[in-house]
Amino acid sequence: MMKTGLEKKIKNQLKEREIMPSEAAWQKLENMLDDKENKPKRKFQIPFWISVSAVASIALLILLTVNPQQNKQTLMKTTNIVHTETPQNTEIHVPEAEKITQSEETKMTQLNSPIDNQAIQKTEPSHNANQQLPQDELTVDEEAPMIQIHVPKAVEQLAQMEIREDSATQTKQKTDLVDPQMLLYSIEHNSSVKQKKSDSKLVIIDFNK
Amino acid sequence: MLIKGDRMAQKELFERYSPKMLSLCRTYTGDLQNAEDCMIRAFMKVYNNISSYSFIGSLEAWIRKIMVNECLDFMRANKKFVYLDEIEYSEQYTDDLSVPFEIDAQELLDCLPENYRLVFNLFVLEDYSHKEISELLNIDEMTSRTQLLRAKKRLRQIIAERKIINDENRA
Repeated sequence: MMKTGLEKKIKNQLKEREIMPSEAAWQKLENMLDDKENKPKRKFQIPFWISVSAVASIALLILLTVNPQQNKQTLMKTTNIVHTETPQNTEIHVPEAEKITQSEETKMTQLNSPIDNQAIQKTEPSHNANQQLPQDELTVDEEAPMIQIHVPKAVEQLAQMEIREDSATQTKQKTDLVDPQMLLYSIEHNSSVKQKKSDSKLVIIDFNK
Repeated sequence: MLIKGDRMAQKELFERYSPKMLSLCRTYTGDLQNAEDCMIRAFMKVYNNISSYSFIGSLEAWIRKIMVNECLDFMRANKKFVYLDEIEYSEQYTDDLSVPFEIDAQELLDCLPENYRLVFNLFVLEDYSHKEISELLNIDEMTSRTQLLRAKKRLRQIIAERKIINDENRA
């Protein structure tokens, strides 16, 4: 767009024009410059969002480390509660496959009480709380009626103590099964080893032979 | 010297350019006081950013640009102008009104509404294109054109009125 005569006239007039600033103008500018120079430079500060994210990540880490332990505890608690309730009120309907494993377990551990056996079996999976547990090992009986969990604390504690004792004995028995040296000796000196009874597991070893 | 922040050099620069720059700021702001405040703030920016001056164009042009931007910031902060969306580009003025008497350019500009004056200043005095104006003021290019046309129309009206008054005075 071409500029008209009026526009040119205005432009030329304003281009040549000069307005002297007031005497205070430079003083004002100088004060501003002084203020800027005297202003201490801001020290490096950690931005707010960084500090917030750091706190959040620490909290998350704590939660992640604490929660698995809590899960373990809650899992143990629930299994204990179920087992302490069942012998009092109802019969235990264990699936066939589980029954077999249970009977094997009883033979191995030679424990008389069925409650104890079950308790041992149920506490075992709780050691690996993070792993996916098989369905038949977790639930005692799916067909059994649901039992309201109103167990007195004393009973609950007793049950927990029993389970701990039993599991301890089980591990002890498992560890003291056969002495390898004794086994070797018995094989080498087969004639010196006598069985007490035909169906018994106890044997008599004559070391003088 | 200026880059190092030498006070004498800064003062020299101020004394050399401040009269022209104050005149420039005065065309944008409504009064001299605001114009001086804008100029001082702009000089602060000049001193702070003198290291970024690339020596490609003239120093005066570089300072002038900073002054214009500072004035625009001031006007935006005070919300002195509002652009209407209505665009009427049908108005065309091809005739050039002769100005037989001496005019006071600043007085004429002061008669214009803020939004007209702003576009007129940028287009006529600073030689910005309509595209540049639209980007600078964040408006449509057509709006810029319309504002300029209206500014010119308004100026013609003012001059015509003055002419009548002058003729009457002579008679």
